[in-house]
Amino acid sequence: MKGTNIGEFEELVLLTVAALINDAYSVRVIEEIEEQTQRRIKLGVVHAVLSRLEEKGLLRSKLGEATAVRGGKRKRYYSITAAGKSALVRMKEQRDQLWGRIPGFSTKPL
Amino acid sequence: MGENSRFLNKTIVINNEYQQPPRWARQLLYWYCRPEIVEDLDGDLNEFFNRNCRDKGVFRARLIYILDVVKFLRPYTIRRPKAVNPIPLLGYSTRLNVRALLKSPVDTTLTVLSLTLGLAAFLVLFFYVVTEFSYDTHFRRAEDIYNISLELKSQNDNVTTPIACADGPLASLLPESLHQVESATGIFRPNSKDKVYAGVGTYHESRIYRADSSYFSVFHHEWVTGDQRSWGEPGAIVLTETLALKYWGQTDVQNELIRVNDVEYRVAGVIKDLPDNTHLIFDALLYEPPSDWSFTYVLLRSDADYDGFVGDLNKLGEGHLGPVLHQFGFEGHYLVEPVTEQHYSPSRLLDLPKGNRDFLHILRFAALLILAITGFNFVNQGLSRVIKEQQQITVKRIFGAQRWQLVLHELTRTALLCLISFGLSIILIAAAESLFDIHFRMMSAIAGNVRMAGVGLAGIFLVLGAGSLIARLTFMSPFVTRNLRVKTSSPSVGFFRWGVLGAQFTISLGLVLASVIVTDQVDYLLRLNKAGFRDQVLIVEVPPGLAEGDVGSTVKQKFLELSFVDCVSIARDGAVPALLPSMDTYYIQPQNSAGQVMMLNHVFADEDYFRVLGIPLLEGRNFAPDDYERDRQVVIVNEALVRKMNWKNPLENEITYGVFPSELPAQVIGVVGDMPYGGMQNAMPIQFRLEKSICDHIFVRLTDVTPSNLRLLGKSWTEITKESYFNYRFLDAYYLEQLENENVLRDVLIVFALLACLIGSVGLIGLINISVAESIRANSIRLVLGADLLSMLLQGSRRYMISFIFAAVATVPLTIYYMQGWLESFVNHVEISVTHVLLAFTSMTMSLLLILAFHFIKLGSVRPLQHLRNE
Repeated sequence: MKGTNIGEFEELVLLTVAALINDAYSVRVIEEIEEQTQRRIKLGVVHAVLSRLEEKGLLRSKLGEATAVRGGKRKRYYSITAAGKSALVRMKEQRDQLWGRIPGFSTKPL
Repeated sequence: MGENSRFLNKTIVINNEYQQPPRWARQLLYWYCRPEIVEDLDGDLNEFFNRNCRDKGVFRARLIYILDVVKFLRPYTIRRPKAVNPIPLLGYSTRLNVRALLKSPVDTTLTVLSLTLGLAAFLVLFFYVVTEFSYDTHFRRAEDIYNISLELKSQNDNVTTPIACADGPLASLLPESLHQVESATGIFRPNSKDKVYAGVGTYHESRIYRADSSYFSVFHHEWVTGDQRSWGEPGAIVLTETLALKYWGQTDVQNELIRVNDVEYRVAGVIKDLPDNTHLIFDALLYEPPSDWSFTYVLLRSDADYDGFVGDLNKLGEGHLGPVLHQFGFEGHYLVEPVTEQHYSPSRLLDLPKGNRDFLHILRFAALLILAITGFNFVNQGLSRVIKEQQQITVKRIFGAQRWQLVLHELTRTALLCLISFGLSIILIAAAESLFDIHFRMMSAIAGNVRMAGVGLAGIFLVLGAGSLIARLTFMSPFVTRNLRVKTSSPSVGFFRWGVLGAQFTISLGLVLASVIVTDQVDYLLRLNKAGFRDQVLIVEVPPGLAEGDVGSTVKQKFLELSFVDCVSIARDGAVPALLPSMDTYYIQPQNSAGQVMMLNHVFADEDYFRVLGIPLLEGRNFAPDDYERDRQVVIVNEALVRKMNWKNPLENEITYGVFPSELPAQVIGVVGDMPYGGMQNAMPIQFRLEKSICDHIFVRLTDVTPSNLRLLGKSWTEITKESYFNYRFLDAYYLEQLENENVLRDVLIVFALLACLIGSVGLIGLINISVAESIRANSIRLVLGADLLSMLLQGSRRYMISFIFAAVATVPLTIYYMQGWLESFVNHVEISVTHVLLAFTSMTMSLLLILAFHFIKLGSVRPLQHLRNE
């Protein structure tokens, strides 16, 4: 397994896969991120990130069903692994710690 | 894309209710993408494409699809070649191929034989051309070395005479007069042999050149012992390695003493032997100051302007040589040519034998043609084998053999056959070289160009490999895989194949016909010259030290005392009929017309010369003993000179030595018949002059030639001259030498005609194999239905019979036309007749009959039940 350090976009994709539970394949992941963040996401970028996260052992994948809209090609469904979960938890803890160190933190803009 | 293709096909079936993305873009994706991710990637792209079709229109969706396919070209998507270790497979493939080759010995022998002959012929021709094209290129700075020669133009008749030499003093004048010249040297080649005392023996050498002190500053040689600093002093001699070993058995002979023509020299050093492809073919080099005429070479500075140099040289020549030439009625200018081009320029007076660039280009083309035909035949033989192995290949494919594995198997077989044939062709060349007296040293040419031979072998392998692969891949198509049936060639491929066979027939028949005609002409020339006494005429070579004085006359008298000696004549150099005579400037004064200065050939001999050689006197009289005493000189001319001068009454003319009419004129007293001087082709104009004070050759006609008589002659010679060296040759030997070119041409034509027939026959056998294999089902059915072998043979052999007839129609007139031109270059020649054509046809038909017999055997070996079992 490669290092579990992940970048901001990788974290976002990992979180989205975790959130989509059993419906996480690349097109769906893109739609979800676009919906949540209002950002335009490229298919190639998401594919590359999914592939990298799988290589790091944070995701696992399996082929699902074929559909006509996909030209009879099967979807590749991703799900988060235990390592992926712990990576997300660690990232959240790090952020929480940093948030906690800000005195009199207010949600209003500084 | 083999593994990906099943997904690609599936898409086309299912996706019929949606828009199709660009097919080529999808194919691109399947070509580069890893098989394990290509399916979902394609699915995602399709899903996106359909969404974009709905949102943005089909055109934009297609554009985005194409862009996305290109953008997916990332390291993690690109397929990686499988890391398969081909070495074990190579060993396995080699074993299988060796087994298969041994299993069918007839086919293997034919293939190897064809390839060996073709490769041997190609290698010999190719390396001969390479050697000829690299004449004199081995010298360091060869590109800066130039040869300077002289072209004389007679002021009377404007006739130009190019001479291979230049005036002797020019070489020493050039470096100090022209700034472009770095160094210049003059070389002199003697015509006669030198008598050498070296080590413990006496030798007669014909290749001892003379050169001035600058020789080694122009031409670079590799020294074995000594160096060029020891050259350039009077009395120095440089030997080649071979000569040093011949004299002393070692090369460490610096400062050893050696006597050449009774003058003592000191060995300045030993140089490596010279290659074959050079004009400087000396065995030893004597230091000698420049003589009147020498072969002049100049080394120009690297930055010298060539045109400027030629201009300056001729300006120098006008001042330095012009006045002397004008005095003799000539104008002259220098010709400059690179030393590397010297071998191909037109032949000049006193020149060495030259090469012919056009001929070399033709030879190179012939070499490539032979290689192409050999390759074609090799592919055909491979093809007939592949047809036989088709079911085997199909079964291999069904059981999962990859295409590249089959390709590797085929390449291993080609490499194996290539290596065996290449080795055999080298052995064949070496054997031919050692068994026959071949001037061109093929093995050393190949050894000298090992890198080129390696590259050539690799090239041959690539070409043959590519051809074999094309043949094999033709039979790896899915059609074959599905049907397990013999596939036949397309009509166009078949037509091409038989067309190439027709070309082989054309070449073979042309060469056979040409060799029949040349053989007949050479035999005719030999028969024609038998009419004289040439096998009874002995020519004794007189050593240089004895040429002057009355030795010749004394020996003549002594020889005449022997009972078996019919007559004897003494003559100067250039009197041997088969050799080139000497020439000089003469003033000719015909009756009632203006005189003119001409370069004329002359032979100096005594009054018995014509009798010894059997030259008939046609008009006037022969020399008489009292002609020596007369005040007025006399001369005899031959028919060719009379024809050239257009003399109606030859005896009324005078020929004066030199350029001035005031000098003593010689009256023409007789006309004799032509003899083949200087070549068998044309009769050369000659004038004969009386001479007995200088004797270079003694012509002796014997009534009875026996070893004991020859010994007696030698004894008489030694008694008079006190010389143990009695060097003689029969005139016959000179004639045979003269016919050497024709003999070589005949031998080359016969060898290549045989080769062409053999290669063509093997090619035809390959085609018969293909044709029999392709029509095996049809033939099996015919046999089952009761057809007889003869009718099947007639039907099967129709195509090559037609090829042969077409070849004959195309070749015979063309060959007759070219050979007629060649024959007309001879004064006496045979006429091309039906016999020649019939002989050529008969020899070709013999080989065709053998092939028909082979075809018959092949048809006879067809087993119908075995082949129809799967139907």
